[in-house]
Amino acid sequence: MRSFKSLILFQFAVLISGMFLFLLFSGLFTFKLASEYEKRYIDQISSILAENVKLIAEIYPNKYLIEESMKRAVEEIPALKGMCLVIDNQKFCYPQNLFKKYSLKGKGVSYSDSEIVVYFPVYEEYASQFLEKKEEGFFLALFDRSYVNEFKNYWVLNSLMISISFVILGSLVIISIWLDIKGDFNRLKRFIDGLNKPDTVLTKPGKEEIEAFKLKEFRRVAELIVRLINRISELKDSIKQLAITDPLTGLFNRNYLNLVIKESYIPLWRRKEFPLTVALLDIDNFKSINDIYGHSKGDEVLRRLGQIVKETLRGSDIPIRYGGEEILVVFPSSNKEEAVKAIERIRSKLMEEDFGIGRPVTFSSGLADFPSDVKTPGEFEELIEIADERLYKAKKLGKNRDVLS
Amino acid sequence: MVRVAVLILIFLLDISAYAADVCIVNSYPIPPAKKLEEMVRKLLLEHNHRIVKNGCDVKILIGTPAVVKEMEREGHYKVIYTFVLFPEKFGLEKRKNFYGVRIFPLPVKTYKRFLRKYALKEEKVAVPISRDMVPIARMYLPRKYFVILPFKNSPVETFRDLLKYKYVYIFPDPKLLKLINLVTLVNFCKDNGLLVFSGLSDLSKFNLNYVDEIDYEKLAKLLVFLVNHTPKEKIISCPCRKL
Repeated sequence: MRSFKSLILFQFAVLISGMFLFLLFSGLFTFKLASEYEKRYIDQISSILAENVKLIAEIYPNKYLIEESMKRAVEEIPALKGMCLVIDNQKFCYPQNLFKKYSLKGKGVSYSDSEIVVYFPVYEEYASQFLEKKEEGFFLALFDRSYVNEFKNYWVLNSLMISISFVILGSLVIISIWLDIKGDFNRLKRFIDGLNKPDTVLTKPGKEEIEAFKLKEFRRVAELIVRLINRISELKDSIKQLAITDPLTGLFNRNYLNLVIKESYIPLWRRKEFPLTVALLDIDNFKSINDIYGHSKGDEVLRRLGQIVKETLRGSDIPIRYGGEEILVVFPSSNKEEAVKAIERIRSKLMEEDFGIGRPVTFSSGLADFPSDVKTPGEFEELIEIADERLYKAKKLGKNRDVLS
Repeated sequence: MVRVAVLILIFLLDISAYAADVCIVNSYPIPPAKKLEEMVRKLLLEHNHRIVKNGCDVKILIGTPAVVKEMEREGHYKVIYTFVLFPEKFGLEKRKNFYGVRIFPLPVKTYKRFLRKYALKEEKVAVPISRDMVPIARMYLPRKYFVILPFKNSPVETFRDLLKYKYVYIFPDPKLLKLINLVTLVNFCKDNGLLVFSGLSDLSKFNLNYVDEIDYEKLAKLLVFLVNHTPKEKIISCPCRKL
């Protein structure tokens, strides 16, 4: 696969070759065109001269008069060196020796180093087209080639200069576009590389970074990439959130307990040996609420309890929906005496709520902590079991209470 | 056997469906000649003739070069020609298989029409002619009506004599019809009250008093007529528009 740099080099080589070929062909074409124009110019001048001289010869075929008018034309037209008209077996030439020197030239335009000779037949012109035109002689004109060439070269040079100017201008435009594209490609590469770094937080890059792209298309691509990455990141977050959160209460679910607490938190606890309390909360008579008022009422109670738990606890405390109406709360760096205060606050808030069932909703809880209930940090399951036993005990003792021992 | 006979019959019917195979050679690249050729082609097809390039029964020639070339060949087919100024110059009237239509009316006919148009009295007509053309001109200009005034280089040489006459006829003489010569002659005649007329239709633009106008449609019809018919006269008069 070709690299971007080699592609640019290849394109540049193509551009240079194209320019060279354009100039070459433009030069050749201009030379060809100039030669054609020169031939036509010579032809037309010669025709006009021939017409004039022939007309004079027909009106008044006087040798002196005709040759004098030829002389005047030669003096007035700088490129013209001489001419000859042979008509009705009469010969008129200026200068006189011209006929001997050039009369044997073939028809058309012929070139020598210093001269251009134009030779063409002259036809009789009749007032009626029913008479056939007959060749009645010939006309010969001699031009100074150096003078004609001077004009031609000037014309060619001008044309070439214009062509070169256009080529340079066009190349500058193309090169500037190329440089912009190349710069934007490099910028895009850096931009994507930056987004690919593992420690990069996938947030929308600054406006300046995207504004740095010169071409609108590249800017759009960059914005699209950022938008896609952000969307993926958002989706990833929401999937992650859905995986560890209970949708009804908004508390963590048992996945969180297994994935985060057991795998990450307990090893840390084991290492640091900080105090840790586990509390198991269970709504009293929840089944009767469901049975009498329907599951929607039960869900409402659970949802509100979840909110109260979240509002009441510290940020470092971890509430988890453990079972149907059971909530497990982990209190890091707290003993059960401290933790029960938080539980009490939750209880009092919940009891203040009116769920329209004619009585306040209460819950019972069992608490266990390290180091008073288990001697070794890391015995999380034991702590939960003890808390569960104490919860059972709280239920037995008449509900709506906390059992710590 | 029957099939072969039927096929031969169809083939013969197909051949007989064409009245004649006609070749057309146009050696004049001028617009009237091209127009005439187109008209002739159309008429030939209408008359169920077939236009071919070789192996023709009749050849229609337009222009003197085509006629001159044909004269060298001596084919056994009928030759019909037009656009030849002086057929008598080539002795075409003596050729057995040559039939033609004149491209300008005989001077006498033009003269008569000219007189009729302007209700003029008959008088001798002066005709300036270059010396080389005098023998040919004599064939077309009867002494009864025309007086030939020869000149060597320019018709200007005849101007003094022209003043003795009232009418001047422009004969298709190449030297006389040189642009300068014709314009000079017409101007002189106009300045001196001489009436100028000609049989060459395209001279009308030079402000002549009378010019015979060729009827090209009739000319085309005449040429097609000659394909199937053989008239007594070998050269038919030029068809002109009526006054």
